Amino acid sequence: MPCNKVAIVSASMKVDAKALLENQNAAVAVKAALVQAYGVKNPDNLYVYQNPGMIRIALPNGVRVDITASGIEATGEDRREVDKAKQVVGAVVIRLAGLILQNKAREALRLRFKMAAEQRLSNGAITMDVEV
Amino acid sequence: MARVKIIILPDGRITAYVEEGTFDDGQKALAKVLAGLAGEGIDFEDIGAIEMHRHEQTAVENHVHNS
Repeated sequence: MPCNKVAIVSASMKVDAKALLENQNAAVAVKAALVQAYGVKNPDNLYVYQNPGMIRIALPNGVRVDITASGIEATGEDRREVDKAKQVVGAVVIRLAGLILQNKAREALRLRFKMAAEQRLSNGAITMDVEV
Repeated sequence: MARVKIIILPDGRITAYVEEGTFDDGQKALAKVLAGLAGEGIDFEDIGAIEMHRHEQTAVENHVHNS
């Protein structure tokens, strides 16, 4: 089948903790993701607090993690658990920030242009046809 | 008015393309889409050049010889 595109452009949004920190429901999403990632049986043992510009996490293994716009800081007695926490939280931040930005881009397009069609695919992609 | 097709992936990648009209019209429409996203507070890490993209159909013929 022919695939002719008159014009095409690809871009990458800046996916970092900023998008997460600006989202009011981020703490709930971060907690849910960490409960799953760590296989926490009692979610009451995992604390996630959200303050302006910061998300603070206290894991059941004693590791504390701060997410700020400048990065992810983890502290604790067990070095391996600290390193693991940085990796796990880092992956969670990127995944959730990506989803937040995907939704933000969708809303921005809906606001600015006339929507002709929209679909969410099984791979998580959103496809939109807009009149410009 | 041009119809722009947009794909937004959950990892932050966006692809937008136009299938009808001239390259010049498509280029303008895509620039408007990018400007619209930026205007609503979307920060981009990378924006590629607007390009023409064409895959020509290749005819494939099969011959079966019965001997």
